[in-house]
Amino acid sequence: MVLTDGVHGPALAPTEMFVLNAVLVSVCFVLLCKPSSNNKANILLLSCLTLAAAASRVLLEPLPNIQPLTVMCLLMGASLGASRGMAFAVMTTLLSNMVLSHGLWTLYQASGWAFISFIGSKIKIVEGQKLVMKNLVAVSILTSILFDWWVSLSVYTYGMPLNEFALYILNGIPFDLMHALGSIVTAVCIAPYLLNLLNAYPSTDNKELPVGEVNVIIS
Amino acid sequence: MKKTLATILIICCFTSLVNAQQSSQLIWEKDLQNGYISTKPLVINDQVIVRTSGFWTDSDRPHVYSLDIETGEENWKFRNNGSTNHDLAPLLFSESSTGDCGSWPDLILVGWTDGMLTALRAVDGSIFWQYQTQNDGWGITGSMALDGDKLVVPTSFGLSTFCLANGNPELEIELNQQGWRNGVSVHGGNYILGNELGILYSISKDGNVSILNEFDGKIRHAPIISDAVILIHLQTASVSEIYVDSELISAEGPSPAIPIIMENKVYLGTSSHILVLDCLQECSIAGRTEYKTNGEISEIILNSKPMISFPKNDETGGWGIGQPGQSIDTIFSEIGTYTTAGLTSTDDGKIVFGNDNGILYFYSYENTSSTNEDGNPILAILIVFILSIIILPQVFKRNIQLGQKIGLFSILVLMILLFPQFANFWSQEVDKFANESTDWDSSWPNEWQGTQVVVIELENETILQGGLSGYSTVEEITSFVAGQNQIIIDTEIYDFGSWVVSFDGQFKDSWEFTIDGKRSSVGYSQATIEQDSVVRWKPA
Repeated sequence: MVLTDGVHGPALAPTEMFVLNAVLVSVCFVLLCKPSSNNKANILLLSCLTLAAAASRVLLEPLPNIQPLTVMCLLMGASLGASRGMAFAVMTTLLSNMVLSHGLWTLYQASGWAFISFIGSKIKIVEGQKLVMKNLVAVSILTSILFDWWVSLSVYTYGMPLNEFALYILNGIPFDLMHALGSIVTAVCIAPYLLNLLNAYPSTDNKELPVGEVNVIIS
Repeated sequence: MKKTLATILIICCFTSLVNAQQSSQLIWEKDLQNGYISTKPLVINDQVIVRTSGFWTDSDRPHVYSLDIETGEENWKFRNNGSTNHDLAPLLFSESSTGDCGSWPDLILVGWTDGMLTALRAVDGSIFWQYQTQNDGWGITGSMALDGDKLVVPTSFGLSTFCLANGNPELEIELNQQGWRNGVSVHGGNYILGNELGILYSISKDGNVSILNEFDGKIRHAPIISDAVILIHLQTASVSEIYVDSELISAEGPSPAIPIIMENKVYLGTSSHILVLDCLQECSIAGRTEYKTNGEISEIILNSKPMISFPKNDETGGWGIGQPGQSIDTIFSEIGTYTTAGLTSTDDGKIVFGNDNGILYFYSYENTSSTNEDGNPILAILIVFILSIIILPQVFKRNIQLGQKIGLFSILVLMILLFPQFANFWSQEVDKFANESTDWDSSWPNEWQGTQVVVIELENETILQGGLSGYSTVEEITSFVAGQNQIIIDTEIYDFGSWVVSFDGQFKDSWEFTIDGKRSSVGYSQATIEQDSVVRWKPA
């Protein structure tokens, strides 16, 4: 269950919050600092998509756990590569949580979506600039549910009985199902158009390097 | 793509229309072009009676208007040429009757800032009688009262009573201190009122004056009488204070509103909060919500239910509806300006009100549910289902892919509509797996066994109250205990319910509660408790 309406979970002190923010921003910086010949175009696209994804989280907040960001992370990882996909995930989480609320759970959300981007870069979701819809839907469902359980760990505190935590996870099943259903709808309805946009700006991670025969004179 | 978007939009529109939680329809509006409307209108049979207020230096003056309730057309109007200042004394209606001093028709009783007291015939606005009270100050600005065949009037420097049949003064008391908006209350054989020096008087019907209390502030409302206790919301230099008899109950924000009492509950407001005191046994704070109100708090009938309305005195305007301590809906904010006058409702559920622009509005209003209650989604589900059955086969015939997209989207919308019921049902079933737990402390009194207990772990003390019963939610019992112990609960309202931000300003945004030692899966306004539950609040 990602969004709870009973307990916030452990709260962070100002120092801990500062450390968390520093870690997340540093991770983004490192992930984005890879030299690229297509830097400007990719940065612009990444920024626009990050803003759109963050806005989607904020706008859809009243709906129960409808998170198009999960599918977007998969696609970003598949199209732009692992590093940019993960940077997208972390930045979107940070940006949207400035509005929604920021705490220890931000770390879990950011890392969860970053890992989803990583998965997206490794699994065959996009083949030859075309979407492999079956794979995308299957991975979306699985990652949506696993993501929710991962973020639920942010509620766990030392000393909490395991059965109590298990009940917490059980209570979240309806939210997990909504997340999965939302991801399916995002995959079917929005993913093809998003991929078209991403295909216009190929990732340098995936860009083919020019190769050819070279005559070498050895003397 | 366009067809997909169009279909999605149609489904969303229907869903949002069906799920609309309130609908108001303007029947008529009338710009009186005569200053502010600062007091609530009266509805007398088929008339709306309202007065204007303000400051005039030219030839115009404030009026009392009678408008036809169905059309807003003017029946009559009355102008007081002598009044120049802010007329804030609420209008009072007296039904035709007979008394010791004679008989009178339906009357509209009006107090003016020049000290004039006017009794107008309700049918045509003609003067039945009028009397010039002594005025060396602000005139008549407080609420008047009826006592049998007498009209009780807080005058500029005292109190007077008049025969309703002929306007003859029967009692004239000079208190030598000025009052402003200091309404009078009738209690048994006495008249209770305060003044700008904070002195609370009791005046018997034969003119004996006694001082009940002296406060350090201004009394600017009719004292609230509840089961022989007197409640005053005192305006001080910078804040306000609530007193029950001579006991200070709470210090609150500035600029107190005009409070009312309804069924042993007293509703009050300031520039920062609205609150309710439960005066069934002892007066204690039962709920508080952030809201800005300084005008007339009033009781109205909305959807056949009695509700309390709080005029919102900021640039967004409107009136807050609800119980302090819970979520407050603001209605008619589209009127969009500072509001101080109370709402008036009719027997058939219509609402009439005015604003500081001097415009009078008459609305029909239907509110199917508050923003925090689950609406009945059955109609929405049916519409989405029927639309899907009609549209989808057509779409599938032409384009299978498009049909799949629309079909999936329809399923998503249906699931969102069904989700609250499904989630609640699921939570209840999962809770059955939970082990019985208890939060009982053996050091507690034995007589608390089997009763409801509340524990609030503050920074320097733990509030512990047991032996309670009859409360069904965490919110209810927490509000009661906090009120009993004079703890201020700050809440924020979200779509999923109210959220406790702090107790007495401590540990903001990090409070959690347990019921019998277990965390709840729902918020505190929905969390239900048993007759022997232990509710514990502690910083997370």
